[in-house]
Amino acid sequence: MNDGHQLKELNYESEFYFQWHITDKCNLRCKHCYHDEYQQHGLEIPQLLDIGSTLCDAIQQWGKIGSFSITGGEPFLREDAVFEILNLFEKRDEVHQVDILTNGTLINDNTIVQLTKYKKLRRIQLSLEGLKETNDQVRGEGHFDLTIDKIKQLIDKKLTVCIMMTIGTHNQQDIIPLAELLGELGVEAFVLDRFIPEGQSNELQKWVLPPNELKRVYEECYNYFNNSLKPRMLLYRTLFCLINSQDEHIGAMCSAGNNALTIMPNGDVYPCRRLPLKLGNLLKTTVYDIWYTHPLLWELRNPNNLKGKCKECEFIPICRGCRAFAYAQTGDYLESDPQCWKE
Amino acid sequence: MLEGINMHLLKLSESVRLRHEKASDNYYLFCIKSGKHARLNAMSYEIATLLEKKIDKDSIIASISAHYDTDRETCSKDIEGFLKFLQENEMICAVD
Repeated sequence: MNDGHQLKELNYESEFYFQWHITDKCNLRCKHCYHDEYQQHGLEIPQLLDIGSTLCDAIQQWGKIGSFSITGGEPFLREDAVFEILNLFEKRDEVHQVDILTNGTLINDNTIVQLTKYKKLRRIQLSLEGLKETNDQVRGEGHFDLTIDKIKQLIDKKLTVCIMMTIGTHNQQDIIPLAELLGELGVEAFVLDRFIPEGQSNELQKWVLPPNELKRVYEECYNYFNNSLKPRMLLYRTLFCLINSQDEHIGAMCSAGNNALTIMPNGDVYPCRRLPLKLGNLLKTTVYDIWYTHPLLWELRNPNNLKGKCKECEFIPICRGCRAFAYAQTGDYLESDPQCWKE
Repeated sequence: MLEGINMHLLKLSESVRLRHEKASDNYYLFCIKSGKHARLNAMSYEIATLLEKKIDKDSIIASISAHYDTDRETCSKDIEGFLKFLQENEMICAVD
């Protein structure tokens, strides 16, 4: 295994992760998107900064190191808010790293120059859904070429780029060819997530990989991970541990209820963006009230509550399946993960 | 400060929440205002539970010493220590 894989991406004991959607508005309409409406502009900057400070205070109170993703919708539709939040995080010691998850289309030379000033900005995450033909069928005509241009511009200015791919039956064949292309471009990291049909993509059940196909795809990815230095394939996701449970650099326990929360544009809080169950709203209650007392979070924390084959699984300490996927497919977030191939 | 505890009826602050996780048999105390939190032992949890309704220190001592079949003096030290912890963290208030 190459040395690059020795870096542990997440430390579940010490890290707390907030995924912060500052707006629902987006200039794209990707077919696989989990959004079901694109109207909420989001809170005004003073309110965003109040929430940001509150979240930083919580991380400090819990003695954790903070990891944030700023996203949307398309976050650069609110470029002013992005930079105000980055300014806040730069001043807060408990914030360890910040990622921006964007479709990249609105990033220009001026944006890039500004982004280079932030020491805590770990990487800019753009998305591709495969090679040109496949990607553009999902994300829109011309998106692939535009994104490749943006990747080159960002890397040229020494910013770290990560590419996200949401995998399903429609694009599984493109994973390794895309990884090879990204390596040639100098992309640092490549992250894969399973397609979950929800929101406006709820009708696309045919894109869900059957368990044994997902297993084969994960095995291919693990093989690539073990043999290629760049891009570093980030395989910190549920079910990956089934490929090699002895390799601590792959797989992850579901973070819902354990070390992460998602903040929505209006201040609503979810356990995970893909588990869209409202826990509360940060304009009306404290993050402590939500984290300490919400029964859904306590349900998720107790592995004895899991159902089906997840309940008896030997990998409970390192996996628990994707609770969001279980919810999307069965309506019960405690059910076994329908994409798990383990007998 | 402890003089106040001796003289007043006490009650957990409005912002304090208690939880007993039966699966792991862990007891927790949370302040949803300040974020302060603590894992408790069974006796401290029982004291905190008594403090959900207003109660004076002597009544707490009587209840705990009876439950654990311990003399009042030994009980009193433990209870005062816990009440001091709650007071220092603004988790109890005098209500009379």
